[in-house]
Amino acid sequence: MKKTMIALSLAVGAAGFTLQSLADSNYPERNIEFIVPWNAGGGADNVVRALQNPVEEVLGTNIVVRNLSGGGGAVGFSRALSAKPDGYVVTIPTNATFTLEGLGNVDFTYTDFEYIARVLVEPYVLAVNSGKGWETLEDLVDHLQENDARLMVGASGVGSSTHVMAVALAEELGVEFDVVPYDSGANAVTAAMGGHIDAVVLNPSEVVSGIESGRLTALVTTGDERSGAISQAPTMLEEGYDFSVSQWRGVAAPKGISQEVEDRWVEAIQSAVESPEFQRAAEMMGSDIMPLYGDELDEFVERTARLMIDEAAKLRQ
Amino acid sequence: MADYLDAFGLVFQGYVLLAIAGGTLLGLIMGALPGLTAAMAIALLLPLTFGMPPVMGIGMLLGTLCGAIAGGSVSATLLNIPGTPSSVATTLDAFPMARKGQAGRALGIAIVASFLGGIFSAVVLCVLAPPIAEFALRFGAPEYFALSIFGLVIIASVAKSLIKGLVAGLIGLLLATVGTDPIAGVTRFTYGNYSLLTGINLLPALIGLFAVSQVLADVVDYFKTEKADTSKTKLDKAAPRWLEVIRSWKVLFSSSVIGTIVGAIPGAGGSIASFLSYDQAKKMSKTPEKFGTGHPEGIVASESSNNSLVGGSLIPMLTLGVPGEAATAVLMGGLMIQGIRPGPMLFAEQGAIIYGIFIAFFVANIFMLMFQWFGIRLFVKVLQIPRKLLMAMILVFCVIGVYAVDSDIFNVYLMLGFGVLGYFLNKYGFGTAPVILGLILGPIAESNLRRALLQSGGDWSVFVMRPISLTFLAVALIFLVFTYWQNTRHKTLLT
Amino acid sequence: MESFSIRGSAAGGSLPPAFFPKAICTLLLVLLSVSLLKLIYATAKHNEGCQEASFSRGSVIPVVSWLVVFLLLVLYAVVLEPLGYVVSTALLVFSVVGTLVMLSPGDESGISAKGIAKLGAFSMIVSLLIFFLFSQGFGIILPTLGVMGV
Repeated sequence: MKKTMIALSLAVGAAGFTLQSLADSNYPERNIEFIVPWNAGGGADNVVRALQNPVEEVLGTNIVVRNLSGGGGAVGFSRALSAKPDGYVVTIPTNATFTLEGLGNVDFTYTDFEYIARVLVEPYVLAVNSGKGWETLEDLVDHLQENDARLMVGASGVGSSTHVMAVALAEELGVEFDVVPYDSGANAVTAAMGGHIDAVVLNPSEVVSGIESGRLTALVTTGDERSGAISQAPTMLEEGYDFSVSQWRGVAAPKGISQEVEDRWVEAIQSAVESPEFQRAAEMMGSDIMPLYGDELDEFVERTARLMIDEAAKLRQ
Repeated sequence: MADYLDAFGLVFQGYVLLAIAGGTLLGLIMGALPGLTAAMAIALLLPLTFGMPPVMGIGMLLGTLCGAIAGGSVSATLLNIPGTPSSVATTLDAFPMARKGQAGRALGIAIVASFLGGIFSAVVLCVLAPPIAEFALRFGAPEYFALSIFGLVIIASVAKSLIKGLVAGLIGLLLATVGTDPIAGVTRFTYGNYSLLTGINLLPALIGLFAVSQVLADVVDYFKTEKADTSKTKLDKAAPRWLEVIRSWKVLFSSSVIGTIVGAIPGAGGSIASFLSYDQAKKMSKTPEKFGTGHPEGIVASESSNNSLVGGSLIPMLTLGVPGEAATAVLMGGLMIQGIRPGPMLFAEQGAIIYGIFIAFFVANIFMLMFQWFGIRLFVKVLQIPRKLLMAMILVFCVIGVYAVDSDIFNVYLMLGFGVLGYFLNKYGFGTAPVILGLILGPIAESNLRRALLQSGGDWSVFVMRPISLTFLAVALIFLVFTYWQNTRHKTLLT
Repeated sequence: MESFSIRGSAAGGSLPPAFFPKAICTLLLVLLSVSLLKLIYATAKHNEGCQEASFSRGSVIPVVSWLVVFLLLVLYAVVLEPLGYVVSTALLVFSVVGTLVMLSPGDESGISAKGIAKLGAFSMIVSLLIFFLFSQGFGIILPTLGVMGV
């Protein structure tokens, strides 16, 4: 703590005299601000805090995590974008970056960011209340189609990526969902465990303990591969649907950072994902470490962004 | 049993105790400052816990949580600034008592009540966690709605005049509709401002309504009563008041029960627990008219309740893996980074750790008591700072605290707006507590009303067909009638 | 008292696609304002001529100081980000306390050069102390001027 304090005051002091021309080759020369556009304790925040130590080690500087949680991410993202593109302000892009744009609540677009890395991936899970008796996705779809019934599905907040995904899933499966938005994933899970709604579409970390306790049954996940946290549930691809979207979390900066800065970050992330400390945290959070950089990342972003923006735009009316 | 013995071994080590003590102290300090919440304090310490063994890390964070809630009541008592939303009800009686020159007594009562409430919830946590979690699961949208209506009825008993209280409450409810609506996603009253998309932030409202409005009122008072030199202000004896608290054991017990249970229901807006208890205490009291004027039972109710809330909120987190509110969400993040996944399996697989957490929670409460016991004499010294300097410093703390919430200058303007609103509300006898209740309960009431109707297909009968929901609504109605009767009887007695 | 009805109607006038909870809220607010106005009317009538109309100098000063302190706060919020925390806070403390001293007639600590210097030093120290507490102790980023780290 004390060391951090001294380092912090020195670094802040140095900041005043920094000359930009020298900066890039020596990057980083001062503290890096990591903007988390959500509250402390959220999924994204946990990831950043788990990354903090291993990344600090490689970059040799302090990462200051700053939670700017207004507007479902809108405040934090636009604040990050208004920063100088020098690599001293970064943020954590997720699917929410795209859904915000699709919902039309913000005036930035996903192309305003320079995507540095994808770190973690977690699929969306369709989990039903175990008391309803559906064991497989087929059971559920047959039941809904035969009885012309609607499924009451909880999601974590209106316009959130889980909300968007629930709507997209229903469309893909050819069934009717009534999506009930909750204030948080935790509240949606509680309602599903208590049998007040039939199912939830959420990320694994939020439903894992419900599944372990036997109150919820995971029917399907939406990733390319099975999720490490819920390996018993098949993917949509396995079930014969051409559907694959995942929630992801990474690092991004405002567009215009230099190649040197980006390289330093890629190096740091590459080493961070190897650290046992981070791996343990990722496992507990129910996420899979699937790093992606450079062109492959850009391609992934492009594909995911288009899909999420289109789906979110459908919610607008 | 073996698990318990192991757990004792895990907790009673020098470094572990030191970590818990450190966490509690930091929590106390941050909790006492306006704007800095328990969640922020925990997030601040989180990185430090990574290198620690689980019980040590979690113990430190639990200490922070307990300390922050207790610290909130210190500034609520002395300066009418609720450090956290849960201490709003504390201001109702503790501040008037402090103004009467009994700051030491008010704090002494608060400290003891906090401690006993915390210990009560710790016992419940150890003994009854699973069944309470089971009960919490029975809360669906209709129940949450009914609970929030039940909470809104309290406005009637907190306010001095029924109509004025309701108006203030409605202002709160109206302000609560600002932002993206919770079900359809339509933005309301945001005027293109990002900061308002998720609604009015509670902290700027809280600090504006209480602290800023209080300072503005003091500025006016300053010229009327200036001559009294504060540095010679007589302070009463500042020490814990065990007897006084234990004498009102009925209030203590019922408030602790309410706090624990409300805390255990995820997303019920935990900070209303202290209001529920306050209301309950007033209803049971033979002298309800004393509440709001510096009545010890009011302090006992609020303080025991908001500290038992802490233990209660650990119940769903540990047994179901569902964090009930912001602070426990950060705590749960901390657990997961430690490699512990909260949930039903935790009890079966890692008994020693979970019992270690229980014991650490007890220890944290004891540290909380000790620090406050030693600190109480220091706390009251705050009142001896010359008033003009104190006012300026309070304003700085308010602005910075609110700015720190989201590093958003907009929140500061919001706070100033609420400060003016609060000043006039107080001046004309409307009170500011109902506004806060409206702000907290508004979103819960609205979203769950609409969720319930969504689930029932528009059928309003769900609210009366379900036992828990029906009970809340019925009791709310009875309370409303009772309060009205109590008020009118009191009035006729006076005339 | 005016401010309430203005607030209510202004907010009510700009209702976007209305939902019933909002409608209920606004309606109730209007209803209650009416009954409230009645109440006030009644009490005003009751108290007529008792306390009204005493605009002496003594009652003006508190109002003036109230306004000054509030305006200073708004100003503080405006300059906080451009000027940085430390400078603007020192200014705020200085001017708030200064205002109170100047406006209170019989304050013996008065307006001496020494008094001003003392107050200036106090403002600076308080401001710096809080700055270090928050930025170093609590890890909260405050706006800075970018000179010497403050």
